[in-house]
Amino acid sequence: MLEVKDLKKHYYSGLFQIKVNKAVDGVNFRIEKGKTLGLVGKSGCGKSTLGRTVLRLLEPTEGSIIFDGKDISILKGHSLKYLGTRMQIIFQNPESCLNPKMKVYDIIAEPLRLHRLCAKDKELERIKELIEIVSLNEELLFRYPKELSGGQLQRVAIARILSMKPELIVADEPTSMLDPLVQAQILSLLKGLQIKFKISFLFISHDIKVVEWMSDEIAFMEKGKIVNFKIVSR
Amino acid sequence: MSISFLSTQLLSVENLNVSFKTSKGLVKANENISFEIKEGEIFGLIGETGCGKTTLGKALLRLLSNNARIEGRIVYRGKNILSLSEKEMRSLRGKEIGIMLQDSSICFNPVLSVGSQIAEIYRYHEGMKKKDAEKKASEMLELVGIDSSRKSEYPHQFSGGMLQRVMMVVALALKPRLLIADEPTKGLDPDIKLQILEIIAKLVKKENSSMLLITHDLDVSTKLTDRTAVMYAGEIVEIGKTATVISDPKHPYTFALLHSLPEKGLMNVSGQSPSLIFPPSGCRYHPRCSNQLVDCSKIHPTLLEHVDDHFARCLFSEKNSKNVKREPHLIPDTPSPGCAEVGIRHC
Amino acid sequence: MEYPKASEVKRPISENDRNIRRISMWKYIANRLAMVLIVIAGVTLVSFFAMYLAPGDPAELIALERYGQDLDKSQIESVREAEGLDAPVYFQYFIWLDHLLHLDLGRSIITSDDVLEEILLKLPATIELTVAGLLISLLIALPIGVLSAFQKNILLDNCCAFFSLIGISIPNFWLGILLIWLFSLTLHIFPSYGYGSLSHLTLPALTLGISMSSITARLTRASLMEVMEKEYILAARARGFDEYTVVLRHALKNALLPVVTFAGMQLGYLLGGAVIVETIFSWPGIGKLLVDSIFARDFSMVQGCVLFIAVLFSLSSLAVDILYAVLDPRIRYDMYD
Repeated sequence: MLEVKDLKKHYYSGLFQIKVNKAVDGVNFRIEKGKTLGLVGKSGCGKSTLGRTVLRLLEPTEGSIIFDGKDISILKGHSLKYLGTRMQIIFQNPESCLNPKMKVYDIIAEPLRLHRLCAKDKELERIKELIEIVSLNEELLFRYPKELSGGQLQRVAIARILSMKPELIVADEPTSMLDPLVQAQILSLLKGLQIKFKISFLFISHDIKVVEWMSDEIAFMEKGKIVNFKIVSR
Repeated sequence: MSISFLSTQLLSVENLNVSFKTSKGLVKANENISFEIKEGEIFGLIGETGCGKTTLGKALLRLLSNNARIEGRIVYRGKNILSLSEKEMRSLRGKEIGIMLQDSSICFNPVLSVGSQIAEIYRYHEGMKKKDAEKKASEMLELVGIDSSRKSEYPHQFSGGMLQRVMMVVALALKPRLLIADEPTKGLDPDIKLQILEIIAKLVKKENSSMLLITHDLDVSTKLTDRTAVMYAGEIVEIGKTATVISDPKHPYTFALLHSLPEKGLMNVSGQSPSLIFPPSGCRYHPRCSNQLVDCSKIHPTLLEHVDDHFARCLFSEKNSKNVKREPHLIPDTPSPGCAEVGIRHC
Repeated sequence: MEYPKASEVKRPISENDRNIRRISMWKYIANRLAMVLIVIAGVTLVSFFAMYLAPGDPAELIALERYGQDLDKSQIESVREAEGLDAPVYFQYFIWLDHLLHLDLGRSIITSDDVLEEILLKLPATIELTVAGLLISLLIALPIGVLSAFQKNILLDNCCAFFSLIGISIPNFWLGILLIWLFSLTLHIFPSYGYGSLSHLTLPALTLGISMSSITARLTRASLMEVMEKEYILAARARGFDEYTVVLRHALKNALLPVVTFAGMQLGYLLGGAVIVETIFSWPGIGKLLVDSIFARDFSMVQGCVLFIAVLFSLSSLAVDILYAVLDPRIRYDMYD
């Protein structure tokens, strides 16, 4: 499904762009269809940067990202936009990535409209279907994000992502801001989605126990490099 | 009272009610909260976001906003905190009761250096000279493992873990008898989390102080506390020795919290925390509870002693355990004399 | 290999998790100064070409001044040649710039006075008025702003709001005329125009001060109220400090940051001459000089004034930047992860 080869992301700074911060420094891994790779590391080890570079949200410095047999690290323009629907990201703090001025309905409908994924008259039907998948109450559709709790917002974010029928989701600390009960809800939701829709996950977290529960394989990251892999046995 | 310990009581909270007037209605953040903290004890208060635990911590020092209404009694070493004057209150804050507020990154003045914010405490409360206070500040920083050369730096130059440690220094600077720590490890990496907790526990034990540890992290509470109270939707649903609460929870919410951790099987409880404006009828947890009885939606259970010193607010557990003592938790037999004089306080 | 348990990971506890670079104060000032120079270079361009594009032929104007009404073409041409006005525009610009670098702003077309000398002659009066006006405005605004921020007494707060509203709504010239009517014509305390003594300064400075103080007072109030809601104020209270310490030490410095910016902008604006006030009170400042030369179509004088005002404005905003960095340490640092 996804194979990353010798991926690097370096930041240059200073007057003559000499100082280098090697956020991601030569990373290799692969994720099979419908499987989860967990990525564990301390804050500042480059795991979030890696997640974003894989999605081409950040430009890789070097290396290749092979998604579904194609090297996407060199894609441009329209094909990159199309790629955007197939690969998605869930952020740590849904509050800061959902537009506070939009109602929940429009937040979920926006990608449907932008990518013309569904006919206008079927939109409502599709959105109802989506929020049922993430078990959100229908009455929340016409509220604003600030009226929702952290767990509900994360569900909205997931529903929005699902509207694009992604094949790969990068989950960047999706539960680290949540309470234990809510974390359990969101994690089981994600796992259910994976089984139902055969989605691959790159699951990023600093909590080894959460990653162990979610993943088929775990990669340990330190200072921009993956130092170890471990298969999770069940 | 049913609890009899040799050690003396430092703080007792009796029937504390805190509510906030908002445009959407009266938010009942704390209802009928009663508990006590003994000298040298670490007391854990567990609950989810929005259950009122932070409000409780701030109420103990009367640090709530103007729209808060506090009723009940908070007795600290024989004095009712709610009837003290603002001046008496100031002599209590910091000196007798220290508090580590949630989110250290916004609790420091951005335009004053970290060292001067610590030194300020000694200069203000102990009348130290500037030089001595700064020396003392350096010593305190070294104590929590921060190089004292960094004292002239500003809060934004410190990482989250370091600020958390500075916060600790500030709260413990005057050696208070009680430390209130509100989520001292929120958002930190696991290894830094452990370091912080080790340091806090060491410092608190060294001075034989007590601590109220407010957290949503069961791990943290299990490792550190002597006794634990679990809060749900503004009330205490279970209280007892940490070891027994963790090993044999009497309230289904506590059980759910314990088993929701991934390493415990990630038990999935549907629904979400209720609103504090319109809490559910009967038991507040009943809409989410798997052991629900018919009465649960009608009768609001009281906090009863199930085993020795182990109280829970649950009809199901009452029914299923034989030796429930019909003694409610910490309600004085006769109205205490202080009640009338205090009544209600607008903070 | 197993991932090491958290408890086994020992790293130096004081290690900084982020790379934070400190820019020294001098480097910061140097950066800002460089930017000011770029701005000034831009201003020379604009002020030169704006005058060039303005209607009217400078050569003709100069000739008019020299030879009177009866001009013939040859006289204009000879002036054009003599003044170098026949050269290409960019060439003229560089010559003008060359003179500028030697602090030569040229001579007035009308009076033949040295432009720079003329400006420097008017400068003390402008500075005097500016400083006095700014001081008065801060003296009025800060106490009112602080008072109304803490005022539980709604009446007093409303009075302050009313005062501010009036201050904002009344135009300068009207306030000036009112003050003249009250203090010179009715009470005969202060003179209504002129320059030289403290009593001459009082009315124009008061006019400026009052009209500026209204906005500053509202700004102080809003900013202080916002700061008082911050968590670090609560944290300061939790340390047992009294309200006096909390407000003066923890709140005020933070609250004054936007006020400093605003007052700094005012300073730059005033140094350029408070045109209206200077005109009403016949105050011999730069503002009045500029207006007079515009009416007299004194090209070189206008050019000089505009340039001078722009430079003063840039310098005063540089001063604000530096002051800001002194007050707020966050400005001085560059942070990256």
